[in-house]
Amino acid sequence: MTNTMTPTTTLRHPRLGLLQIADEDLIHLVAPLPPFMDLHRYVLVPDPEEEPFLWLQAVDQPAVCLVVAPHEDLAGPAPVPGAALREQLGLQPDEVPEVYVVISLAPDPQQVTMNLLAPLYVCRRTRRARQALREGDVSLARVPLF
Amino acid sequence: MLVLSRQVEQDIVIGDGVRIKVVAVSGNQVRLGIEAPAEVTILRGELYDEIARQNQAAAEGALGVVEALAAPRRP
Repeated sequence: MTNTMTPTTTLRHPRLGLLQIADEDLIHLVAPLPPFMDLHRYVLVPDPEEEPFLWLQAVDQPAVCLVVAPHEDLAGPAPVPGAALREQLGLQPDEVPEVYVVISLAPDPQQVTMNLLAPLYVCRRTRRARQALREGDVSLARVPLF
Repeated sequence: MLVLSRQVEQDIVIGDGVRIKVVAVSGNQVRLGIEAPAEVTILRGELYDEIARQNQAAAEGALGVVEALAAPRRP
């Protein structure tokens, strides 16, 4: 994930161990994920054994580590980001953000859910991201994955 | 918590860009009209709380149960 020429941040991932993250791979959340209101710096770490799932790892608090997956892969096309969100992410007019759903794991696969009420939008170019909270049926926050 | 009394058609202003008006009152239900900048997220409180709970659960559940994801995916 890094080379020796770029500034890096070191963190210990609960599953993947010690990681060297290039500063250019850090993602800044323009609004924090509730309830982790003090955390803005994250990194998306692919897990080769669990494709297409990725780890959304807080840089400044290793215990905050969520699993996400591309919205398109699990739930079809994501809601189109509105103008305000596009501006916050610094998206250019024709630029398409990456969109992920947050997965809540559980020992019983039948209890694994995904949150369709609050997709995570990421602009890799600007390295800005935001979980877009939206109105809807509360059950959409815990849609069974299996 | 600041507590204010308002009548129908009266409003309150929060910060520089948020205005909340009491539109109607019926029994124990209050209808509110909200004006806010587009970048301000407006959600029912229970939805915000549920999303926070799900994020917390996602962080707690992620550790040690990744193998659950190896199960067959729902079509």
